[in-house]
Amino acid sequence: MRRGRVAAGLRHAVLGAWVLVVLFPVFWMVLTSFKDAGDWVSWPTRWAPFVDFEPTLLNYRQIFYIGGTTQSGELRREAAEQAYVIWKGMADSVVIVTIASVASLLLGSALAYAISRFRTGGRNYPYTILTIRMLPPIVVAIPMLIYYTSIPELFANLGGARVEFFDTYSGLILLYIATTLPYVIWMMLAFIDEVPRELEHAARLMGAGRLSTIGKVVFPLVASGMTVTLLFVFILNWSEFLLALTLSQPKVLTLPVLLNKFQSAVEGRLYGPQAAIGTVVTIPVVILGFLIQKHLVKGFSFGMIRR
Amino acid sequence: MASIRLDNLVKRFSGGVEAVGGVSLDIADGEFVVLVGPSGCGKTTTLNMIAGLERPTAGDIWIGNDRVTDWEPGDRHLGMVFQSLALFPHLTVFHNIAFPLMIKHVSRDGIAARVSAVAATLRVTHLLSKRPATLSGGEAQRVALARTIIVKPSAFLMDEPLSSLDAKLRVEMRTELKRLHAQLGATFVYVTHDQAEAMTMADRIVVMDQGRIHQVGPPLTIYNDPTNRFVAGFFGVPAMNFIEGELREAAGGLVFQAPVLRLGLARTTGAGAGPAVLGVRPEHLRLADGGEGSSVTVSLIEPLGDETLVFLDYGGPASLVAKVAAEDAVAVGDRCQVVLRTDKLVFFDANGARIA
Amino acid sequence: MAPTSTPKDSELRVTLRQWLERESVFRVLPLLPVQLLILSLLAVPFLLTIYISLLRWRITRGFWTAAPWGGVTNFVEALTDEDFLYAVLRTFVFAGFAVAFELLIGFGLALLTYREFRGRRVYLTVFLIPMMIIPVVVGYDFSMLLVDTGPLNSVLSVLTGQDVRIRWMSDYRTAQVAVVLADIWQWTPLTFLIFVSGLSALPPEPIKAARVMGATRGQVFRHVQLPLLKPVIVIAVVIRAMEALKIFDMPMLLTQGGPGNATETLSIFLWRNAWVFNKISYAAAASLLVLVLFSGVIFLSIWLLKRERAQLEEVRP
Repeated sequence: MRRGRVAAGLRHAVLGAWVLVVLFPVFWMVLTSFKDAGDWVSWPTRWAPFVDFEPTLLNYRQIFYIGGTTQSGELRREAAEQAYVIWKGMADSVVIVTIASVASLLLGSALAYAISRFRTGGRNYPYTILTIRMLPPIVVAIPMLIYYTSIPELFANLGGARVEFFDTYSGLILLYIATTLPYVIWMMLAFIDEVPRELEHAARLMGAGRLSTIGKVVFPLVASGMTVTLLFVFILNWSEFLLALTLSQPKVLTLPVLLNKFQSAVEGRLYGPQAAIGTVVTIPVVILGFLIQKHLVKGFSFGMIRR
Repeated sequence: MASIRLDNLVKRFSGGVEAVGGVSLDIADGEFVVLVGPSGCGKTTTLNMIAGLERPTAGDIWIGNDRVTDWEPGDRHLGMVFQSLALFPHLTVFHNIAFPLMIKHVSRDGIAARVSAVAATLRVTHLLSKRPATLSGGEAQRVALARTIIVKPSAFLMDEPLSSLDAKLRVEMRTELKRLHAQLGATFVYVTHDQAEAMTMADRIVVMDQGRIHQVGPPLTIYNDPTNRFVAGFFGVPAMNFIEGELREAAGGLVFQAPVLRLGLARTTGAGAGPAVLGVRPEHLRLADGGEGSSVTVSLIEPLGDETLVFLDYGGPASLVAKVAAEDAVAVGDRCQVVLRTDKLVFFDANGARIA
Repeated sequence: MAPTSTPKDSELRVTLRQWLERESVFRVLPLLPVQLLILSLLAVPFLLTIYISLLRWRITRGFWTAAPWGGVTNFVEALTDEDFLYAVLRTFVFAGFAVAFELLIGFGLALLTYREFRGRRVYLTVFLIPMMIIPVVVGYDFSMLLVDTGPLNSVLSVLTGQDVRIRWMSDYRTAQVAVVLADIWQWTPLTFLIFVSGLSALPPEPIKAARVMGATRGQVFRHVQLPLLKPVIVIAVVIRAMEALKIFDMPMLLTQGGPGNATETLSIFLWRNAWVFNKISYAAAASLLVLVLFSGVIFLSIWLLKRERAQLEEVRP
C-alpha cells in the first residue's frame, strides 16, 4: 500500500502543478481588475490584496460609469463616452449572438432531423458541411468584405432599394448563422440519432401526423440536447473576433472587437479597465461552459466522440 | 375487426436490395398469423408495409374492403407492438396509454375512464404514475399492449415483442398473448424468428426466407409436412437430420443409398430415382442393440431431463441426432444400431424441393 | 383550429398542414434555407473574390468595377513574396509545435485522471477553464503577464535570485515562444477532454482479457488501449491542427504579429494586407492560394475523420 500512496501523491503533485498553470493567468487578470493605476505594472510586483495594495472597484466603475467618477470636465466626458461604448458593445454582442444562435439552432436542428431520418442531401452531406467549417475565417472574411461592401452599390446600380450588410446587425447575424450551422447539424445529428425510430413509428401508427410526432415525441427527447447545442453555439459566437473585426465597426461593435480597440489604444495601455472588461466578458462564457461541461466534447469533436 | 390481404407485395430498397420479392397472403378476420423466418428474410419489412411505415415498391395491401396501399399509417386503424416496445420514455405510463386518445382529441374524462379500464384488464393500474424506465420487462410489455389495445384497432401487428424478455417470462407472455387474442377476437399478425413461438401461438404459420414465402399452413402441417428442405430444417429443436444420398430403383420398390446407409422403401412414395436428401426428425430415430438398422457409434450425449439427445457417428459428414427416452442407458463410445421410422421420412431433391 | 377563426382561414391552414406533412416536403424543406444561406454567403463571394484577385484594386481607389485588369500579377507577386511564404512556413511550424505539446500534455493529464479517484471532478472542472475563455481575452491576458515588470518576470526573479526584466514582446524568439505557450495554455484542455472521454469510453472487456492473459499494465496500454484509442487520437490531431493553422485572435491581441512580423501567421498576414495596406486584390489572390493549400489539408482531414468515425462506430456496442 505504501507504493500506492506514493503514486497517489505523485499524481496530485503533477495535477496540482497544472492547476497552478491553468489558474495563474486567470488569477492575474482578476487581480489586475481590482488594482488602481499605480499598481498595474509596478515593480516589484504587487501580489497580495490588502497587503501590497488596496483593492478598488474603480476599474469596474469606470468601464460601466457607475456612480460617477472623481474626474471632472473633459475627463468626465471621455469616461462617459467610453462607458457608452462598452454598454453598446454588450448590447450589440447580446443581440447579434442571441439571434444568430437561435436561428442557427432552429435551421440546423430541422436539417439534422431530415438528415438523420431521410439521409437528406446524401450520405456525404454532413462532411460537405464540415468542409465549410474547416475553412480559415480569414479566407471567408476577405470575400465577405468585398461582397458586403459591393451589395449596396450593385443593388443601387440595378435601381433597387438600398440594402446594407456591411457594419449592420443583419450582416453579422447571417454570417454567424452560416458559420455555426455545421456545429449545430453535427451535434443535433448525434442527439437525434439517439432517439429510436420505433418511437416515431409507434406515434404515427396511433394516428399522429409527422409534425405532431416531432412535437410530442422527438422534441421532448432532444430538448436538453438542443439546449446544450444552443449554449455551445452561443459561446462560439460570443467569442468570434475576426469576422466582427472585419465586417463591422464603427456602427456595430461586439465585445471582442471592443477589447481589441482597448489593446491598440494609442495613449498607453489601460491594464486595469482592460482586465475588468476581460473579466466581465469571460464570466458568462465560463458559466455557460460549466453548464454544458459534459457535452463540450461532443461539440468540439463534431459529435464524433460521444460520452 | 378486419381481414388483411397482401397482393404480390414487393419492396426494393435504394441500392437494389430486394427485401420482399412478391408476397401474397390472405389473413382471415380474427386469425392469429405468425410470420417466421431467419433475420433478413423480409418478415419485418412485410409487417412495416402492412403498418404503412414502408411504402411497397409494387403490389397492394387491403384491409377489410379498403385498398390501403397509399394510406398514412395513422389512418389504417392498426395497433402495433414493437421489438423495443417503443414506450415513450418522457411520458408516464398513464400518458403512454393515453397517447393515442390524446392524438384523437378525446375528452379528458373519456381518456381517464378508458385508460383505467384498459389498465385493469392488463393489470398495470398500480404502474400508471411510473415512467417506462422504471418498469420490469414484463410490466413494460403489458403497458405496450395496453397502449395498443385502448383504441380497439382492427388488427394487431407485433414485431418480435417478446425478444427482450428472459426465457421464463417469454413463455408466460406467449400464453398471455394467446389468451388476449381469444379475448379480443381480433386479427393478429405476429413476426418472430423463433420457431417455437410460431408453433405455440399461431393459427397459421407463414414461413419466409430471402423475401419469399416458402410455406403457409397450420403449425403441425408445417412441422410434419414441410414443402422444402428450408422449412424442414427451420422447425424443430434439435433440427431435422439430413443425409445426402441417392434413390435407386430396386426390386419391389426404391432404395435410398447413402455412403454408409442403405434403406429399402415402399414404392408408394411416388419419387423417381436420382440424387436425393433424406430428412428425418431426431424423435423418429430409434436405437437398437442388434438386428435391423445401420450400425453407428455414440459420440456425444446431451441429457435434457425428460429426454436425452444422442449424437451418432455413422461415417457421414455430420452426426445424426436422436431424441430418446431418458431411461435408455447409452454411453459415449457405445456401438449400436439405429432404426429410422420409415413412415416419417421426407425426401428432397438436390435443390431442396420436396420429392417425397 | 380556434373556434373564432373563419372557415376560409382554417381551410388554408389545413391545406398548409397537409402540404407540410408530405414526406417529400418534409425531407427537402429543411435543406433549402441552409443551402440558400451557404450559396449566397459563401459561393457568390467566392466567385467575386476570384474576379477581384485578377484586378489591381485598392479599397481606397473607388469601387472595384472601375479598377484596372491585372491578370495573374497578384498571384505571381504572392508566390514570390517572401513575407507571404514565410507566413505560410511560420504558421505550419507554429501549429506543429503547439499541437504536439497540446497532444502530449493533454494525453498525459488524461492518463492521470481518467480513472476515478478522490478529487477527480475538481481537476476535470479546473482543467477545462482555459478553453472557455475567449481567445481575444487570452491574448490580452498573456500580454499582461509578459510585461517586463509583469508577474512572469517577477516569478523568475524570485526563482533565480536576480532581477529578471526580460522584454518578452521585443525579442522575436521570445515573442514566438509566447504565442505558442498561450496557444498551449488555451487548447490543452480540449485535447485533454477528448482523451479523457476516449479513455473512459474504452470497452473494459479487452483490457480485462489482456490482464487475465498476464499482460502487464504497460503491455495493456501499448497493445490494447493505444490501438483502441487510435480513432480518438486522430480526431484530436485533426481538429486541433485545423484550428491551429487558422489562428488569428490570440496573437492579434498578444503581439499584433510583431515584433516586425515575427509572429505574423497566415491569417494576420492576409488581414494586414487587406485592412492595413488596403491591397484588396492582392489579399484576395493570396487568400485564394491559401484556400488551395488548405483544401488539401481539409480533404485529408475529412478523409481521416470519416475513416476513424466508421471505426469508432464499430467499436461502440
